[in-house]
Amino acid sequence: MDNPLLIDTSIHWLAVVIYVIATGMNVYGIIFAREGAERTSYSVMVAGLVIHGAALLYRWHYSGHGPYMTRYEVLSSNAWVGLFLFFVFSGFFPMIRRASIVVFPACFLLTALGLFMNPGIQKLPPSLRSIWLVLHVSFYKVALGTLLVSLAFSFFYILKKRSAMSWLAGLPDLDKMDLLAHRFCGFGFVFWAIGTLAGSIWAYQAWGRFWGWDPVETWSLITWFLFGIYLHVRRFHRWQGERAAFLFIFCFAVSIIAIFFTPLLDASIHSSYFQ
Amino acid sequence: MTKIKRIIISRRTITWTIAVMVLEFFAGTLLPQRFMTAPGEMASWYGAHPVLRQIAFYLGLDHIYTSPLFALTLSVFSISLIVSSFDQFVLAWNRVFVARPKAAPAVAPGGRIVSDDDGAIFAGLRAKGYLLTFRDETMVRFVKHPWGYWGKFLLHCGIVVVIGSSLSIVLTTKRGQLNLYEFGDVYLAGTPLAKDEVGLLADRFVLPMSVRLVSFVPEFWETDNVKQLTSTVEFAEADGTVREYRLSVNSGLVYKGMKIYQSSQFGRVFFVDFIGPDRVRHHVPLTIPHPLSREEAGYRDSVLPWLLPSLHSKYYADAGKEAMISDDPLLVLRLVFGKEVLDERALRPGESGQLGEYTVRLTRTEEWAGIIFVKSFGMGGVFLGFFVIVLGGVLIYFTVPRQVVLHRVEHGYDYFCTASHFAGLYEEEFAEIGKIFSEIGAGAPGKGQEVNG
Ligand code: HEM
Repeated sequence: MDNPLLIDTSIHWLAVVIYVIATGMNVYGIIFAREGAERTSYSVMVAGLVIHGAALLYRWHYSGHGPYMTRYEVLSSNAWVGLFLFFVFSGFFPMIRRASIVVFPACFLLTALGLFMNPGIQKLPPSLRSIWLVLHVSFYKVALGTLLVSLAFSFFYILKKRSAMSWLAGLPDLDKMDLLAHRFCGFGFVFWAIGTLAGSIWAYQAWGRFWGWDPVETWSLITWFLFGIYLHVRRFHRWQGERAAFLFIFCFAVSIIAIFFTPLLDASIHSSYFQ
Repeated sequence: MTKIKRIIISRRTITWTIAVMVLEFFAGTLLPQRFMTAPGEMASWYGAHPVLRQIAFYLGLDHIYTSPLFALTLSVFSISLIVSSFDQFVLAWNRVFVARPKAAPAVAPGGRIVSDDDGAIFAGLRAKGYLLTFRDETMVRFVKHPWGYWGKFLLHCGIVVVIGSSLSIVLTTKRGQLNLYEFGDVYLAGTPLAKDEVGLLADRFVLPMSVRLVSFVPEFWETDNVKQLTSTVEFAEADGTVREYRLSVNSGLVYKGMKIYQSSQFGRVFFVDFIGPDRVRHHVPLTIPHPLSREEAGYRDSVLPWLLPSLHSKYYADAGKEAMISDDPLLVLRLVFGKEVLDERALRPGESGQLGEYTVRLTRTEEWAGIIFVKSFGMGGVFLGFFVIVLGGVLIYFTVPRQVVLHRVEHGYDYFCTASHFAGLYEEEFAEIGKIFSEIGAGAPGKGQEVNG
């Protein structure tokens, strides 16, 4: 086994298998009120997270740069950061634990999707060797992880409001879920701002231009403004509950377009870095 | 005046202004923009979308960020933001230094403390991270994270600073690029740069010094991706001082208030002699961008005044396609008329051959590198604005202010707790405060619902 790509993808697959098992247990535990299964699922998922982290570190070591060049790396590291943050946040806010039913599948799907992309190594161009680039990329990952929690509570809100499925009774009450969705969107809004602004500083450092209306930059700004609208209408127009949840789901979908799809556009300076 | 102010910062105006901005950004990504699309591509897009072309023409959607529509939206947005930021400043000031809530809101956790032991009450609140912000004979107010009240003002103020500074940059920026090659000609001080972009209030960009490229070293990874580009440049002043500097990607320099960057554009310049049937010699330097890999070519099309067909040129970094850096590149020249290829000739350094009715000879080849020069005013403001925006956001969502207001009654206090946001998430904290109070005095914590305040 001296093929680093093979080792890297094999460890990734192992992590995915563990994630799938943990997700299955988690869904079973939450829906059928089997506390033991639910509790074990968190430990299994943490084991997957450690293995997944090892795969990313290994790749970091042999590629010579962080996991942000190829789609394979971007998807995998986004999933890892999202899951890691979920565990950190649930330490601070234990009532978000059951967002796992959305966060776990999202993370294993992202990692698995990454595995279907070309895992080949791309070397780091000189313009990407900057601390601002690292902050830029890292904060988008952190923002996405945070927004994922908000997404989970927006979904839960709609589900709980519209159906009487028994497993939903174990979730926090409607008002609290509404507040959690709002609060985590606030966190995501701040992290997204840091990601965008760090990117702008990086562009200035590399090319002497802090903003160029490149499609990726513009979509990122659109997303930030949309989250701004969400936060405003909650404050100004007292949008709460279902209405706010639907608006958030829309904003989240736009953020996914901004992060995963716009870098693929040919017109973007970002396109050559993420292929 | 107050009526205009009310309209300009009404909730509806604000929400709609932000929404219109979003729609304009969206249009900017959906429709090709003149400033970033080649004229040929623009023309074919116009041809394929005649209706959109009309709409784009009237609304300026194909140059959205310099259109009157965007200027109008940005003006309304900025005025509304400035007025609102001022109001938010006053609000934050009052919340921190002046606000004296008289009575408990209708629904808020609270109750009565029956105790004269102010020391114990205040110590209990301090232990929970609450700071004393106001005290007189009738009322005491403790706040956790009082700085959080400044968050909204700072966030909006930061956006104002970024917009103001960006405008200054748009108006004053001078930006240009010199493509220089080793042992090549020198840029002479005072000549306008061939490739420049200047702000609306700026005049042509001329450098105060002469510039020469002493050396250029491109480095590549084994995967053919660029590893680093490094130039050594020489700046000569009118008084005869000559200084040498090194530049590489992501490591520029500041010279006489100008920022200077290594561009990511580089390649080879090929000096080709064309000798026609009339024996007239044309010496043509062809500046071609570097190929992305050893298997691929870099391309450049040129129109020469003395040549009817256009000249298409491409080159491989190495004629044997074995390296990205080589002394043996391969230049391929093509004469093209319309879509028809009239003739083609491949040349290595020193070789000559026939191309159409011309004898062509590749006399010399050198590496060229792009050097970017930027002069602008306002970048510091943009970065300051970024910092203020982030600080504001962090204060709003990470340091949510909560207050405990205690109204003096005989032998104790009536108190209530509120949070500026997300009060429902602080029920436990308020319950713990209630517990501390009930241990100090006899009053049971009131049962209320949480409110934002
Ligand atoms: C026309 C421009 C704008 C005006 C006049 C405006 C005004 C306001 C006002 C009056 C508030 C409520 C302040 C309070 O509750 O004390 C607010 C809150 C807020 N604004 Fe803006 N705003 C503008 C644009 C923006 C933009 C572009 C963003 C970011 C994308 C933004 C983000 C926020 C946030 C995050 C809050 C806090 C919402 C909350 O309470 O959770 N605003 N804004």
